[in-house]
Amino acid sequence: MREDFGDLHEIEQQAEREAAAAQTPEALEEVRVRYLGRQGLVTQAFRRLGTAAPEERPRLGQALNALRAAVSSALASRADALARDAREARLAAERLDVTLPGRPLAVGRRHVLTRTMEEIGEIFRGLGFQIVEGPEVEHDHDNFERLNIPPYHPARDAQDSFYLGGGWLLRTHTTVVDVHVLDAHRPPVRALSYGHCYRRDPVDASHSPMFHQVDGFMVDEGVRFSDLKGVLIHFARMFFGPDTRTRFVPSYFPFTEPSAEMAISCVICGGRGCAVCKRSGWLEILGCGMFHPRVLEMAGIDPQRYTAFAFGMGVERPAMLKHRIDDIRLFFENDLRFLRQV
Amino acid sequence: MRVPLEWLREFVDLADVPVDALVDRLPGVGLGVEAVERVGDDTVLELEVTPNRPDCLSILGVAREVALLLGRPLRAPGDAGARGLRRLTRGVEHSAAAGARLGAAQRVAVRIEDPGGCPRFVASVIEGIWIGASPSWMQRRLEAAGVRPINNVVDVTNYVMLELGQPMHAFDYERVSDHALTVRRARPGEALETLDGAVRALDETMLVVADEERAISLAGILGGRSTEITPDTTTVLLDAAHWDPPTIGRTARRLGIRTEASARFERGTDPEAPPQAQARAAELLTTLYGARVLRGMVDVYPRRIAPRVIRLRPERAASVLGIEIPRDEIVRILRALGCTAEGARALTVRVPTHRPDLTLEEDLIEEIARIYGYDRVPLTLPRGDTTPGITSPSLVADREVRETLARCGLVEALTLTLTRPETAAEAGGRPALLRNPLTRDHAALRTSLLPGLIEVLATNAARRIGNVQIFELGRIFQSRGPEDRPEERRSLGIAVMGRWRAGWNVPEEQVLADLFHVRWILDALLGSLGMEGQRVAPPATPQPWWHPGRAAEVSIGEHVVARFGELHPDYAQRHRLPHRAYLADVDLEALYRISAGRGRVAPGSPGAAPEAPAAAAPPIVPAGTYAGLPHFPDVERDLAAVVPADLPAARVEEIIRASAGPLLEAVELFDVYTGPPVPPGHRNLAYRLRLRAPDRTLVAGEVEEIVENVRNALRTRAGAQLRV
Repeated sequence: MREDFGDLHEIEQQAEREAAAAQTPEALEEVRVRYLGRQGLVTQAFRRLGTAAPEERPRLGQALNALRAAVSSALASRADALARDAREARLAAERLDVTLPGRPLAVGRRHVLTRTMEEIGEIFRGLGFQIVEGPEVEHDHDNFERLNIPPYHPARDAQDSFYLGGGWLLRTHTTVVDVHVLDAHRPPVRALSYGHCYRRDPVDASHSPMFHQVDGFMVDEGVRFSDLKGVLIHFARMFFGPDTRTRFVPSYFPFTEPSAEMAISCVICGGRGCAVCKRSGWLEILGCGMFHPRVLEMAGIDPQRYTAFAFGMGVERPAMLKHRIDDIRLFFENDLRFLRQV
Repeated sequence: MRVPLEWLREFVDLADVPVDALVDRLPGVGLGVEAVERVGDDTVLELEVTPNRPDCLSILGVAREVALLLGRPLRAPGDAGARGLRRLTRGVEHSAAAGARLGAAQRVAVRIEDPGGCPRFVASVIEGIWIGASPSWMQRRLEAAGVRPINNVVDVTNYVMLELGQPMHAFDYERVSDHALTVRRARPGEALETLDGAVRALDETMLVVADEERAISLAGILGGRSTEITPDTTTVLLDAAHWDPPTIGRTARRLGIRTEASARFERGTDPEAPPQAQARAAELLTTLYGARVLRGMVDVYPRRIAPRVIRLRPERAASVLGIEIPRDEIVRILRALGCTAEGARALTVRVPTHRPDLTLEEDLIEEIARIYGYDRVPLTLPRGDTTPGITSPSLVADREVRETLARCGLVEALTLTLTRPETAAEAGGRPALLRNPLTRDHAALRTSLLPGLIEVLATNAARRIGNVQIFELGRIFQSRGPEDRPEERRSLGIAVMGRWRAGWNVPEEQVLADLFHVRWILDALLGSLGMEGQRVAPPATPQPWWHPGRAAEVSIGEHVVARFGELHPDYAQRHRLPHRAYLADVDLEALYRISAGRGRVAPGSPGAAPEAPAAAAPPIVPAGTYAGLPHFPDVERDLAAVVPADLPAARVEEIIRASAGPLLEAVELFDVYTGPPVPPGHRNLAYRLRLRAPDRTLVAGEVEEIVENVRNALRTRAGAQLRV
């Protein structure tokens, strides 16, 4: 009996050796067939069970089952190992030069002036302003006279207009939208508008016949010049950064009294003086003031009861300062290299 | 206004004030410093003087502000130095030459026909003048202030104008016929040759100074040639007048003339200044050139312009400014400005005549704040009722449109609204034309965004940027008649050319933008505005700039809301485009109306008065609605139909949808094929149908029935042969 069992042990060891030696799934399959196949050594060994003495059968059966389990396990673990090797070989072959450049997708964006106007709009919306729009073609009467600028007034020199006929013109400022809002609403009102404006300026590095403006105003009982300062300084810090300083100096607009100009500490040099701020440390960015009583009167609002502050600014200049753009023409040239940078 | 500091120092002591300190402080009172210039050994400040401050268009006026700023007294000017400011600013008394035998009144007559246009006219006569050059100190000052020296007489008039702000004019006395001056309106058809040699056609809105025969000077603006000072002049008639500002402004603008004189008169000069200017001119002419000034200037001043009186309530100042300035301080400031101020509660303020800009209480409040210092006004935030911050629905929609297109990879461009009339006309309709364009290139309002965008493609192509995907959102215009307001519409343009995707080993033919790229962008855009059921068809009236076989119209209901297609190759070639270009033109105005409308109120168009966003305004961008995820599996079936090549795919899809019924969830075209074995004149369209029932799993029988329905419909209604 001992030799019978020794014989099984030898089959087991031999199967394990052959399985371990198989280098491909095909070779391993041959090993499987040689031992576990219909004519395989293990299968044949099971046939001996029929000829064994009845008292031997349980032990022999046990030994045969153990043999079959051991061979199967050896085959399985070798199969795993081969599969692992194959996977690793495949992954190794799939190695990429990860330093190759990426393949760009088209990334679109809104124009820098659009984003600037919307950003300014959002700041004022947070202060309770309604954001509105108006037409680009206006009547001379609304664009000028309603803002206390009579015909032939010297202030019109700075706002030389494109006329269309019938007194219609391309609006020279978005301040004219204020007039329409004043007509349509009763105080309290806070409104802001932005968009294209037009002046008869020849094109150069800082002038374009078409440009953009933002204008806003607030009318209510008890609106003060100090409110104007507080609101505009909040805006300047939100837009240009929390360390921005501001300076208000007297100025003149026919539709405000008192009138002021707001300058911010130069964003390029921080106020020490540079070429951009003409060594003054200050950049004028915005005109403002308290609405002239006549402007309110013409809208049917009693200037003794209500006061209003108003402000207006070009959009190109703050955008140029923020993005360090040195030529206004770039905004309208639409060179894709520019549009994608800012 | 150019201010030589050396001249300014005659009026105010600046010995211990560094230039930098002065330059720093001037903006605080409203005098912006444009430039600081070295001229010889002097410094010239170029000041920005706002249109309301004609008084500061003079050395004296600037000195007054500087003296106020520094808290110093104003000094007397002139070579005489010690003669005192008093005589110059107040004295009508005359520094007449003792030798004059006759008074001026005997030598010249002055008549004002239009006292509204000319409230005051002062004339004087100077004899025994030898015309020559001015002394070099005077020439230097004039040049530093930006005025060209001409001759001693003209230079004196300019010198006085720069110093006191009162323009003067010198006539050759002998050439004034009858030695009589009349201030009158120009006659219809009257012409005048002005000093610059131009012949001006005048009309009756314009004021002239005339002698007995004709106009000899364009009042307050420019002298006439016929009475010009020449080397032979020996007797001079000097005028210093006060003119109605709008009259001067209107004439100067009508004739397109701007002179140092008109700039001052149209802003408003001091009605008290003419005699002072005459006195100062007389002083200079007698002391410098030994001229004889005839005694007694002729001063025609029919109705005296009284100093304005304004009521000022200190509490009103406090409520407008947001700071309580002590009453004593208010009074001190007003007096320093040359006003008188009296009264127990409200102040009665008499304004000096050299400040024509001060007419209302608000003007005085500004003056007080200006001198007190804007920087001393505190920062506050508005009190009272808050107002809701709302963005108007169309601006919200604009933002959504821009975001959608940016997500599709397009970059926003901004082109000028102004274009060439031919370009505007070609793009459609009747363009609105400018009456006074600067250049022909900018003489009309655009009627479409596409020409501008094609221009952008061309500009970039010329710079070797051949892959361009852009859009623009803006307004387009249509004329409704030469005197009428043009129609203004919100529009959107899209232009794509070249690769929409870059990178190594990406085959170009797979990533070149084409018609269907644009179509997809339009579908994405319509989807973002909640649109569905749009139909695409070839255009009803093809336009010349579209490729004749590659253009389409998109409509929703009755409205054509967009057009898209390939730019005609002739146009592409004319613009030297390196690739085929594809364009879309979207009527946003209509889309917004459909989106917001849906039976409700339409939003305001930009051509109307600005819309008033109220909380109730209908939104244009709908909130996306969650439709649930499917609970039961789908079934997919492919079918391939050989159809006549000219049968639109949209029609085939329509037939599929109609015949499949409600269980068809989606139909996707995945292949279009022509060539053998498909017979000529035909093409094979391969579709994948996805079927699903919301409430159960479909069984094989019903799927086959639906597919069979579709196949039958395609056979009978599309003439299709179906491949198995």
